[in-house]
Amino acid sequence: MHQIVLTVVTLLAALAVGPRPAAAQGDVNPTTDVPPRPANIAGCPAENLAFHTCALQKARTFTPPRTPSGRPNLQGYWRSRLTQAWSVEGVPVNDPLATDVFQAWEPSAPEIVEPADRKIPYQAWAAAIGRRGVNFKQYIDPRTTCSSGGVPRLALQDASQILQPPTDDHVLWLHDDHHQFRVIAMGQRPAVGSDVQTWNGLSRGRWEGNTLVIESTNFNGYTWIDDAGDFYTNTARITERLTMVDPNTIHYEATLEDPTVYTRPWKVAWALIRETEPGFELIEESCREGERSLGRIREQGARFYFGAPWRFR
Amino acid sequence: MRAILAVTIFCVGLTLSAATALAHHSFAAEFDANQPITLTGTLTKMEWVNPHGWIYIDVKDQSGKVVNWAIEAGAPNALLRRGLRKTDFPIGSEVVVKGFRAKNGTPTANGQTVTFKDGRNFFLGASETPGAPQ
Amino acid sequence: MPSGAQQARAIPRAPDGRPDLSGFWQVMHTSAWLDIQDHSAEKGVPAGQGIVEGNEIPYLPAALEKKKQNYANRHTDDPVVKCFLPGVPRITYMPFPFQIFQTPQKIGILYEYVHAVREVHMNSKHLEGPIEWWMGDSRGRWDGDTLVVDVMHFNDQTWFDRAGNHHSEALRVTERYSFIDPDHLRYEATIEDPKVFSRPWKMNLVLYRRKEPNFQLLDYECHALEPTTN
Repeated sequence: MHQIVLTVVTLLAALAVGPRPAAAQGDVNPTTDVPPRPANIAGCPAENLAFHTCALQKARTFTPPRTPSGRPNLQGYWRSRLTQAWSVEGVPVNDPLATDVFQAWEPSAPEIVEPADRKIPYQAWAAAIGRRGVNFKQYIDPRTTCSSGGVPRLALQDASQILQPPTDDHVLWLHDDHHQFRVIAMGQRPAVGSDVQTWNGLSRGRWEGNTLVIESTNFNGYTWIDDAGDFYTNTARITERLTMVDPNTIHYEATLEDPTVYTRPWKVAWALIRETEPGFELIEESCREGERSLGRIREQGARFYFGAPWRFR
Repeated sequence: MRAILAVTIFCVGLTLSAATALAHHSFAAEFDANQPITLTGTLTKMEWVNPHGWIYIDVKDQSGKVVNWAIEAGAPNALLRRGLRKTDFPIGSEVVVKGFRAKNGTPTANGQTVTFKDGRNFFLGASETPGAPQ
Repeated sequence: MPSGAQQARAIPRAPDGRPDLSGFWQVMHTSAWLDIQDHSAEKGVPAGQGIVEGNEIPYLPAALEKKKQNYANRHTDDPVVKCFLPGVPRITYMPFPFQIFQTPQKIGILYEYVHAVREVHMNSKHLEGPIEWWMGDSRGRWDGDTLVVDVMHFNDQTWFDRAGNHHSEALRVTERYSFIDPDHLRYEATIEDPKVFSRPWKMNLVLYRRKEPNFQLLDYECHALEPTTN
């Protein structure tokens, strides 16, 4: 056997885990039609919950590289692993969408690591809206209208870049996806009033040992967490933690709280691995300017989201 | 056996970790899975835009009438990173498109594959997952 | 000692010794995005002295005709009306703040207006074209205490203002950012486009530091602000 170097780094950036479909419609050749799957990531198992536990353990004894000002150096280009866009609750093997002609939902493990059942702890009214319910059936994914993937969805889309300027007063997280950015203000700051609401929230960061802890509030609740239409509202609070596990791997986790929607907080976790192609850069991904499909989509009855199901419940 | 595969360079990674993946039903809302289509035509225009590129081809029907079709293709940035440019796909090239017609009956299709006469694939649509028609 | 003189405050410097442009900046010239040349007030639009050096834009004859056409149709045809990216240098003088992040290799300029982003790659070569981007490809270097940014690889879709001033995909912009004092930057943009103009020409602006406590960029998600009748 021989190793063929991947020539396109944007390919197939994350890898499904869990059982593969046995010959779905058409012939499936597992050695040519599916992406290579690593046995492990940073020496940890390639499944979200196992990676989550193992990576945090490893991180305890890993000393990350430092910026000149002595902070853990998370700078560089990153791509997610152990992620898929379809549903944070994972996709089962016999999912009806696994054979969709336009976009097959590949069976995959949940990105959720808490609670133990790996499902979003929705309140009853909200469960009918998320999880391929009302949102998915009646509304247009806000990403499709060129709005943001929001938090934490941005952390699994495409390539991203973290910059830590020497002033250490902010951390910048730039995303290829629709030229989105997140500015994380470091250090103590007063809160911003809750009537100021944003697509990606307003973020405050601090270092806890080698972990960058980001707390975000002031969400407008207009984004979806995944393609399945999972959601939160403008009362959400999200806490992310980024910890380097080895020189090329970050353990990423996000805890989502929203007393309006959930019965308790819940957590997703995955890996960010360093993009090492020499000369790699983020490039412009304009969206509104080239978007041509919304007219046709709306003709078929789908509506703009803007949180309608939870705002007008 | 752990053969690492040569992944075709034109996959735009719409499956996993979704490079510019749009929600499932955005394609399904626009295009009709029950109206697969194969078109052969000549390239008249290319819009190298995000979120999806668009290719326009002149297709002659049986009566000889020429209709210009709009084909929704993949995101261009993967091609850009590979070093390809608009000029690598000359106007007038003969192209074969396999895809699905728009539900609204206009000459519009979601391109699953767009192949040039010299065999190159261009902007593989949403079809690089197993089981999708080639 | 000259009367009334103040001790010049030192400009902020990064650890590498370069002027540190980090922070929040915004123009006070609130109508440049509507008309970069001298203009009187219109309803809702303040009067403004132009930001074009010499107040003259040296159009080639056919391009001048296009400008006039653009002007006549400006309320529908200005790409900013459609919430499109405004291009360079118009993004600089939109009436919204932006934030500069400065590291030695990369300078990020993040604009509140439609979360436009420009990453200035320091001391590196432009990507090979042809490439047509809304915000171009920015490569920077220091010239003493002046940040010089060379921008190319534009499409022909953006306007310099609502008055219909335009360019082709051959546009090349050279920006120069330098401190006047710690809270003000001098910004100069040289415009070159041999398909549209008979010679290069310049725009000049002052950028003011936003000093409000707890200042931060917020959202202007333009397209989402359109009224929708779902």
